[in-house]
Amino acid sequence: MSTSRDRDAIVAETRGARPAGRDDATPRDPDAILVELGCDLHDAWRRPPRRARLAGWRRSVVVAVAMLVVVPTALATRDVVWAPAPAQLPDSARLPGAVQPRHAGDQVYIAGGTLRGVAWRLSASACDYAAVRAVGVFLTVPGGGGGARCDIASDGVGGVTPKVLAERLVQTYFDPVAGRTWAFGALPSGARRVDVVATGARATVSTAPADATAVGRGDLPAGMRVFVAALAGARDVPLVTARDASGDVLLLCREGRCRTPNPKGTP
Amino acid sequence: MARPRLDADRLAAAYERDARRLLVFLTRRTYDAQLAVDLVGETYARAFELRRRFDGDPRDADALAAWVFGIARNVLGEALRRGAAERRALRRAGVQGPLLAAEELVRIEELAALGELRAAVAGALAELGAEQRDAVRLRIVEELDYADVAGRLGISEQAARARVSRGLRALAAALDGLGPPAEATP
Repeated sequence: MSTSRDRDAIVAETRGARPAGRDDATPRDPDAILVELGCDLHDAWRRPPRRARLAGWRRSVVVAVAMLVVVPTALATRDVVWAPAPAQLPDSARLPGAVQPRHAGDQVYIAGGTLRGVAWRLSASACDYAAVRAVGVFLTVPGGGGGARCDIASDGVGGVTPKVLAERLVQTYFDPVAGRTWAFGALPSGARRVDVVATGARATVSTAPADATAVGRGDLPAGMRVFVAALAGARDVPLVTARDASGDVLLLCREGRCRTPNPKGTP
Repeated sequence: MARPRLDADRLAAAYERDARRLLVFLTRRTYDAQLAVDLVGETYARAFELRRRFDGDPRDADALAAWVFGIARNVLGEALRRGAAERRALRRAGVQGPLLAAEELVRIEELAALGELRAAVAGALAELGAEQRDAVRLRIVEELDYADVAGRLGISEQAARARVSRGLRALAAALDGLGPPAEATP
């Protein structure tokens, strides 16, 4: 990549070099593109944060008004079942061949707790397609979260069919705040224990029943159980095995895609 | 002595050091150079927002790169699930990000050796026997169960597994050593 010595020269050449509105479009090489992006980012990082632009007394007024609005709202919504729904997916972001679910339930909080000192919360929603039901699960932790939505099925090239979507019961999220990789998911009622195999680490955790009220209101699969595991560092999670009460393998999940094993124990 | 904090200058230095291989990393996983550039921007914008939570030593280039690549994996996962780049942090930072012309997209694809990768995969597939090629296509491209693969090919499930396994081994051998010069994930 270019050094800082020639950065100014490259930026001078590439500033405003975006295709739109430029007549003498000289293609930039990848390094010049990255330098341009890097300079824009660095400029943004050096700008004072927005709150510093408010005068002191104005800031106090803003904070006071915000408290009046936010605190009662937070108190009123702290224990509710309903979780924030994922943003509506614009049609332009859908792949060709998108399959709309016949019915999509509301996003509900199904479980919460604290693991290794980090508070977590799981929310889920269900999407009914013609032949299968997919469940999308999101993990929320301080500073962020991740998961999957259930309404993105597509029969087009490169898309995820409803059947494949329904098999994606396990998700992972690298938490840069806590420096942990979270593995989590929603499993059938028979699942009691989960073995999580990651690159360089493994963990075994118990499942817990999802909140029954939330399951009912979200029209989620009856008896659904959840698991959450946290592994130190950034890791890939190639295999998750769900076992029933007797220790037999119920589901084998490779790269998050879960299938019932055949009698020989492999999916 | 107190450990220095991750600040804008240190993150900018990390960007200079790592952005190129992150671009390659993301291009090879999205097959979309414009999306990859957007994701590079979103990754570093998020890293800046989260910089106070980085509990490593910002002078440790490897630790910082590992942390940033972890964020990039999240950003990539979101993009693949949504089919588009999530640009929340970029918007908050007021950064638009470069829009690329067709030839610029091609140059990034060349950097990531996508053409070479596509050609190598196509060549290796062509080298496979028809039986193995069909089995690999049904299992990997169409994501069928082994039972379905066996049903389609009119063979036993065990034979289907063997064909897929042999086909993948042959592909892996053909692609062994084919890597872009700049890609390395921590």
